[in-house]
Amino acid sequence: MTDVSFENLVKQYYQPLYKFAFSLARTEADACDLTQQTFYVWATKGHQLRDPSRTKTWLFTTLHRVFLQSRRRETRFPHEPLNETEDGLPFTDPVLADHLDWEQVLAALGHVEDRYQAAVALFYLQDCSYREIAEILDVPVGTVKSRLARGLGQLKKILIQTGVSSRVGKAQDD
Amino acid sequence: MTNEDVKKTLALYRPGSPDRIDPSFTEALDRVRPNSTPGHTPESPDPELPRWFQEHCASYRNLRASFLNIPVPPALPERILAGYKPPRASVIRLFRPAVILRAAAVLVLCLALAAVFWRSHGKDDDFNTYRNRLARTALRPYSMDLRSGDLPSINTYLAGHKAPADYALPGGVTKAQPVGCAILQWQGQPVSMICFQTGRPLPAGESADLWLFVINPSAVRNGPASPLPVLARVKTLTTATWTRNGKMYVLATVGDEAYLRKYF
Repeated sequence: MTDVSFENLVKQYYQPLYKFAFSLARTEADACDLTQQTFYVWATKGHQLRDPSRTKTWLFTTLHRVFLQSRRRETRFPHEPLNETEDGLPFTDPVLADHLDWEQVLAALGHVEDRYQAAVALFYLQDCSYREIAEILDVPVGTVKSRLARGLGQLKKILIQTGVSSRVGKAQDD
Repeated sequence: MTNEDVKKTLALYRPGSPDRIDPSFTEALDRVRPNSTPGHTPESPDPELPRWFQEHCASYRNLRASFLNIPVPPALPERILAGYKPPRASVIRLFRPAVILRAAAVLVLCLALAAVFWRSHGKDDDFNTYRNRLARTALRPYSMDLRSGDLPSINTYLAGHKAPADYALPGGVTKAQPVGCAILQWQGQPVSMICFQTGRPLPAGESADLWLFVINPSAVRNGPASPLPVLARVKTLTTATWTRNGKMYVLATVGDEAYLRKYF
């Protein structure tokens, strides 16, 4: 791969990859590391990809794998109990639900079961079809949808419990 | 599809995405469209479904906007590119200037080392090498250029081929029987090789057991300048070397030094 084509690839994908990484890791440093590592893997192994149309899926898949590998290296993934963060999540008037803060949403996502988080993040980032999400997570499409149903349900409950948005909860709770 | 099935399906629907053409959403989407026709579903249309769907879409857009608002460090692309090392081609391009310069440097170094080695170890034109060469020639099978027991004929032949012919034989050698001659080359100079029989029994296949080699001394570096014979053992031969009247002589025979001395 030439320098120019690598630069173009970075320009095209670094933002969605970083947002996906941040959704998973929830710190800027870790998200940057994940994104950089993903492009590093591409620089060393990307030439093995025969179908250029699958580049996006390849990158997201790689980032997710790198994230899972980094998680396995940790003895225990830090996970704050919900009641400890409740005070840190300000009550939001339902009228303001249209202006959800990304930090609040990601904090809530952090309390969703680990195995659902990637699916939920990809669901909202909307960069990938269901088939692509299934490929990234290495599970069937049906599993993606069942994980999403549970993950979105958990996210909704957490947002309601923390009072971030009653409108979100109402919309999906009806 | 029940109303609950519709909600369950569309809860995973992402407005503004390719999901709108995903067949798994088609039927459920038909149920929430304002102009959907009731009657062909097992359940009466829920008038709340379109409203529920609108709220789902609004809530999805709000949450999606939150994810999209995640700030990306502006310096991230530069950091990624700074850490990128383009893979090197496995084939070395031989004609790049840097490669040529390196090759030239290695060649010069090799030549310099060879010159140093040459100077320290001497060239192949020194006397010891010359004498070893003569001994090998005498010990190995060789062909005489002229077979003759007549020394004047031998000298005529040598002179006719511009090899040293005006040599002087030591007194003892004049008593040996000449059997022929050959002309060797040493550093571009002719070497006269005159073969004799001493009268001792010869090994099978051999026709001579005493050899005299004559050369212009300028062709041999570090040769002995003494007119008196200098004896030395070379391989299985004993040799005597001396230089007289512009000729360098090497007399060689099978035997010890005492045996060779009696030819002088």
